[in-house]
Amino acid sequence: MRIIWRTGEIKHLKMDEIYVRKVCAGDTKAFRYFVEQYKTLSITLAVSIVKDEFIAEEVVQDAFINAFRAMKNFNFNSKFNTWFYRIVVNEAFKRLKKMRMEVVDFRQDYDDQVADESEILALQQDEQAQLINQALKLLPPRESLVLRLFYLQEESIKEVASITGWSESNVKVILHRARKNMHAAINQLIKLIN
Amino acid sequence: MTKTPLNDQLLGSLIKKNLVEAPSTDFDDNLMRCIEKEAAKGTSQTKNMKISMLFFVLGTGFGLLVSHLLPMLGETVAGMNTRTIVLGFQVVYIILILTQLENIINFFSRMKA
Repeated sequence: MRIIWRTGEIKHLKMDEIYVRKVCAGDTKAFRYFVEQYKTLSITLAVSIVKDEFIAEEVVQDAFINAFRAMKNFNFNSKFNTWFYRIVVNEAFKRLKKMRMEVVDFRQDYDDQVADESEILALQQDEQAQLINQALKLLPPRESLVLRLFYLQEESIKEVASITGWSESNVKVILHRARKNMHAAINQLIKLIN
Repeated sequence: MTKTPLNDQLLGSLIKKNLVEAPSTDFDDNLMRCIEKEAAKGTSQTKNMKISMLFFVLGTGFGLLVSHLLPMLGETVAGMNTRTIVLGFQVVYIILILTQLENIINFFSRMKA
């Protein structure tokens, strides 16, 4: 399984490299590969920060344009997705600052709050998805971003740190707090449903 | 009723399933149109930069030629001392270079990139 995953990842990295070279050589249409490949994950990451799908779409559009402009400077020292997600994350935080959005800092006495697994599993699949989406929206941008990067992308702490630009210990602390807050948020939403 | 705490694995799999799609159906096409525009802008910018470079070199060369040839025409041209005219040209050139120094440095660094 691990070997298959590794082979898949190597193939993916090779494809990224081929398309970066194509775009740098002036083949603009080749850029569509990156749009198709990274669009959904980028929007998901941007939503974690700006908390709105339409704004996230604009953020991702700007990030793709910035990536296109800067592609000639991409030196293959890091994976393309790490480089690109960093652009997305920076763009999203820049937009958040511009919006001066007051994100409610979700703080609960979470020590005694543990989400009940059976209550979540009792929900329909689309309800589960909605619940998780809403719970992630309740979390502060940094926490929901780290959770999504860690689980959705299956990125290691090191990768998360290089995408966000935060130190590894900082990422660990945020991830720990995010898990606890997520439990509290899920609990609160389930109470509202019941 | 006893609670079964939500384990990390399930939380991870639930988050993994939770992907947000682009709200606009024509997101890809709109973005590619922007990229095409950006590429066209880049091409015309490079062309403009090349033309600017050519005129900068031509102007400098012409200025050097004039300041070299002007004293050969004689002591005075149109009632003015040729040395004064050359000095005037040189002063104007230096002032222009100094006032536009930042733009010139930016221009050359962009040419290099």
